[in-house]
Amino acid sequence: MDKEDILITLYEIISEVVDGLETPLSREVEAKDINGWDSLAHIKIIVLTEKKFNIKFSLGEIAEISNVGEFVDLIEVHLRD
Amino acid sequence: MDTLSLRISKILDSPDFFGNESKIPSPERIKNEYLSVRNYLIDRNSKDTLIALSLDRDYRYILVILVCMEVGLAFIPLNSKYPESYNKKIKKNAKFDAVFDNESYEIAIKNSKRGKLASFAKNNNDALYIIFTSGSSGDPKGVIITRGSFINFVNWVEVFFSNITSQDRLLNVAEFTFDMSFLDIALLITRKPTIFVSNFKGNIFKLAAEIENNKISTIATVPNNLSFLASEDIYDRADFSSVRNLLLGGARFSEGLYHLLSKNFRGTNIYNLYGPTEATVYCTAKQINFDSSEIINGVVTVGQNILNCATFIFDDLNNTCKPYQKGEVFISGHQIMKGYINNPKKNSESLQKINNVTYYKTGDIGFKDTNDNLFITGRMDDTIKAAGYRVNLSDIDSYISSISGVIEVASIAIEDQDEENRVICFIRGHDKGKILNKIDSTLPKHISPKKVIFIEYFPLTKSGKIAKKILKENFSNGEYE
Repeated sequence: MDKEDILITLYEIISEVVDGLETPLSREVEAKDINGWDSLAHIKIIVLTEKKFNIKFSLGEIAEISNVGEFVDLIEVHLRD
Repeated sequence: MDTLSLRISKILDSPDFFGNESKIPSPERIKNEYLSVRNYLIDRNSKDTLIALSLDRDYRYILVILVCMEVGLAFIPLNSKYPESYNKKIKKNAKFDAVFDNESYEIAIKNSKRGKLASFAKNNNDALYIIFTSGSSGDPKGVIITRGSFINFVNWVEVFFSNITSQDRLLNVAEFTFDMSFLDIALLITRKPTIFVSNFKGNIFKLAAEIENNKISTIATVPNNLSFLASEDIYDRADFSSVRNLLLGGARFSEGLYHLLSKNFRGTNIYNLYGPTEATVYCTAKQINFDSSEIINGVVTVGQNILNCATFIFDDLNNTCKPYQKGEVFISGHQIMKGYINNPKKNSESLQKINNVTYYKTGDIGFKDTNDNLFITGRMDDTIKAAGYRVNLSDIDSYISSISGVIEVASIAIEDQDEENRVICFIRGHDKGKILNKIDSTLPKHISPKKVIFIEYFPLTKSGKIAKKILKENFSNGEYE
């Protein structure tokens, strides 16, 4: 799965959690740019992502993510491993 | 110089208590910044000036709060990240004289004057700080807390939390606009832990990482943040072995969280604290021992009165209620606010003189056990009329939170087209079937919710309380259909 496929899957996950997602999802988008991506949504997105890709993030990895691009890169590293 | 100024001068004489060592200046530099800011504020203001603080969340905000307290300059903490309209409302209401922000800080340390100017004269009845609370009406009200009230609180903190020492590492989680952060300030000036300023901005994974990476031992926060931290999605991937003290307050401590903590944080000193902003941070406290007497009908006790504070349960005629009889909570003593700023109407409603004693009427409903332990069961304004009965939503929450498997619960009232209230109950927990059966079989029919919705996590307000307004909006928008 390449980064573009990961981004599309991530968009589906975020749409499932955040109602009425209007912002196009690019690598630069941050949680604060998306209305409804609050602390609760954040936990849901992380847990759903882990389930969907069958991977598990460490606390340090999740805490460091600051935008969608970094999230995609992190998922890709886990899928490669 | 009063005891508060003395305590602060003493710790600022060697300011080596800020954590995140690599990100903040050396203690010598901080001491210079302290003296510069101090001289700047004294030079440009007078004893009667009311100053608003609007700095970014880092060590500078704490330093400026300490300077204001030390020199005797009344201040209003603002959040520079809040919508401008909200801060404007506060300005209109409080009519403050000046704002001290990041730019002022830079100017102060660039144009430093030598020496140490004399501070303002102080007395116990002077305003120390003014905290704005939104309350249930949504209109911000400025609570004036005096030096005398805060000094009493500080004296209690020093003794009650004597197990916290300079070896402890305290994470400041609460915003400075929320008076829970003044417990951190009181701990800092009495028990002298190393203080770290959290920047988790609602990202609970980041909060967990801050605790783990900085080996935090002490956290004062709202129960909901802890509920997230103790949930398996976070707890299972974090190392919280450094945590020794959890100081919880500011919102309801659910029975579900109580059991979660007894599983995941047993051996940690856990405190349940209660107090409206109007009674200077907290006025009752309880160290949780996981003893069965601490919970009655799903309500965890907030303990007994602290130093020079008194809580009472009064009925509608202002008579003292008997043990276990519910009534409204009134507070008297050293920590009662001076009043709401520029709000005589609210002052006369909230501050009542009964037999020459001034009481703060909290609007909270509660009862006491025979050992004078206080239990808060709900809010007066949570009472609604449903199917002809007076029903308190918090009572429903208490009943349901005592059911095994329930972690968190929040009930709301929705008016249907016939203008009848319907109670909708949101639950986070395990064993849905068992919970529903138990609700059906144990709850009196007139308080039984019309609908029960299981959700994974609750939406929260900025201060970490369950955002019932959002639950209501989401429900009305059909999100839980």
